[in-house]
Amino acid sequence: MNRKSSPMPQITPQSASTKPLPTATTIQTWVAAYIAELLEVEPSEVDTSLPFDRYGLDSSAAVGLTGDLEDWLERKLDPTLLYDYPTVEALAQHLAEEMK
Amino acid sequence: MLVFCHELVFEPEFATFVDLLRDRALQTPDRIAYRFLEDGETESARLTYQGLDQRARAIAAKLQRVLEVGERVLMLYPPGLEFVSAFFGCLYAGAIAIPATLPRRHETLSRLQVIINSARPTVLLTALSFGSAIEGRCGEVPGLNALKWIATDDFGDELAVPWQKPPLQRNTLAFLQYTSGSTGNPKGVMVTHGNLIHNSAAICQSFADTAESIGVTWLPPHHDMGLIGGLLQPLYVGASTVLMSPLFFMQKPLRWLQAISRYRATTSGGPNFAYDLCVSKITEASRQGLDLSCWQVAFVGAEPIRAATLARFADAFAPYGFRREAFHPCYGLAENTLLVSGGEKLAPLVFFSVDRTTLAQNRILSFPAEPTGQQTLVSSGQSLLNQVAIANPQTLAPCDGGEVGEIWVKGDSVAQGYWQRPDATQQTFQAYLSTGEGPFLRTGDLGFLHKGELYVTGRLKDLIIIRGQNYYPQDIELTVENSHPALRHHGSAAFTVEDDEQERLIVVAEVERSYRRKLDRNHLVKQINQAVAAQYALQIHAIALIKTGSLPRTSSGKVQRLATRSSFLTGNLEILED
Repeated sequence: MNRKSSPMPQITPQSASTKPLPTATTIQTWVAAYIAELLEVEPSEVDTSLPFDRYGLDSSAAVGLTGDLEDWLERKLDPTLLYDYPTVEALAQHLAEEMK
Repeated sequence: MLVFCHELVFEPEFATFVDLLRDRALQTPDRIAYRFLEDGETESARLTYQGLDQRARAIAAKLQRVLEVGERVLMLYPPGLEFVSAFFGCLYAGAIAIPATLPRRHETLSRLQVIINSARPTVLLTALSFGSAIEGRCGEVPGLNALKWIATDDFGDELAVPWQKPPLQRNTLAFLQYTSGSTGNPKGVMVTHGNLIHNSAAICQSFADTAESIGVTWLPPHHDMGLIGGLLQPLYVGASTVLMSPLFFMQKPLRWLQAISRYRATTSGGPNFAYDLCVSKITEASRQGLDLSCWQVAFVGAEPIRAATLARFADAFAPYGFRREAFHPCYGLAENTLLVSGGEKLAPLVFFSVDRTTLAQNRILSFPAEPTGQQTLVSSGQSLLNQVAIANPQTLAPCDGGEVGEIWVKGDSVAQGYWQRPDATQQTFQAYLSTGEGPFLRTGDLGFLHKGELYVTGRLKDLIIIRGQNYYPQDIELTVENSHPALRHHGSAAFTVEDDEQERLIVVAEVERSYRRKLDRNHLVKQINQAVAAQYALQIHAIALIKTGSLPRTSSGKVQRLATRSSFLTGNLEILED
């Protein structure tokens, strides 16, 4: 399994000020696309209900994901976010709630 | 006999870091010793030399009320200045500090509990804000409940008044540095006050920092590199340092370089992977505005140093002022306090090309005329205030030039041994060459000396090092074997191979005969991947499922990892057919 570095899915960012708030669905799509690029699989192959470590996503990649997600959402995120919200679904739900 | 000797008569100005900090606080009270960037960007706290001395005295006075000199103190802190104050508080109290971290999630056998069982601390030092995080883990680490908890940010400097300087000698223990060790088996390296001063002098000889130097560090402060290289060295030379949490560096590596640029740092570094991470994660666009021309000592160590990594980093950041000659490779280990060897400040990198196949045999080093099959090694610099010998790990005879052997070290930075582990201490710290010369510290690392430069080529034991983290193959193998009943106990081997300039984890596992007919290869591979990812947060690069009993073993039945690795590389494993 080859992991590429720093994938940035081309999904339009939707920042709080000008555009509508990102919904759980858009966040979920972004994260799934991110993981798919990282693991070089199709986004449809990413099971959003599985814990991140089940994909073989290591701790450095998990912390790195929050950094890229920060840039996309244009807001600060805790580096250990994925430990507290360990699936794509849980993470997306949480972030959508937070941003309301 | 190839021994490179830099044995100097070392007359320290200060016997201990307590004397040193007390003096700095008098000479330069208002100089800022440390700044903290709370999110890796925003400066949230500062500590002057005088302020640090005051906090250390207050914490020490508090400790002196509840413990005697020589008792152990467990330190659990979030990254920040409170850790630094508490560490000095322990030194000022004559207590033996044990810097540690909370167990990682999924960790089955808690390393922290093993440390508590081994060191038997009486006090837990922490910060108010961290208390609830620790309380949440008391179920997993019951030993925490028995300690006396003190939050070091819960009282003022006025407590410093009754502090009494304890009688500290050079050979008084300052702290225990617990090594990674295999699960259940971390060992506490006993570092004395004299070791700290001596190794700080050695680092100073290599880094040549001064009171005008400025450091930036994100290295974990509970590890030797972050503590002695990142936090103590700047204090030793009277300089100023900017701290951030490793997590905020990992989240956005740009923050590291931004801090260097913004604070005009002269000295900062990390393991090889950190430089790779910068190249892969920092986009061209976000490099704009960086000015790295201030950076004089970009130290790199703690894992194999790769010429290609350094070249890529230099290429990527030269347009932003980075100087190639700032790279400062070094080599060290906790058992030698920290540094064994290091380069000269702003000297060009020293490379050496060796034949890849002969080097892989870890024995004979040839100097091929043909440039094919060569591997370029980066020198880890010269021996610092100590004596480095290369010994044949089997015969203990000194190696001659052109031979790879185990790196042995002798000098005043060598720690006193492992805490309450006399056998392991004798094995590692009291080694004698076949010539009778000694005692030496056996580093367990392989390397050779050439023209006074130390080249580290690999690890004697099969220790797996990935992104600066150590993993013991036997631990990973156990996890693999437990992941599915089709896998045999003592029937797997874990090791790394280098691919695309990175250490990749490979697992070779025997499959029980009874499962051969109904083998669901994909399911098995998935189970192994999941178990290893869950336990170690590691990705396996390749898994080879092989026939029962076909792993290379010794006559006594022990799996031979190196032999398995070479069979894997040469395609000689008995891979199961579908």
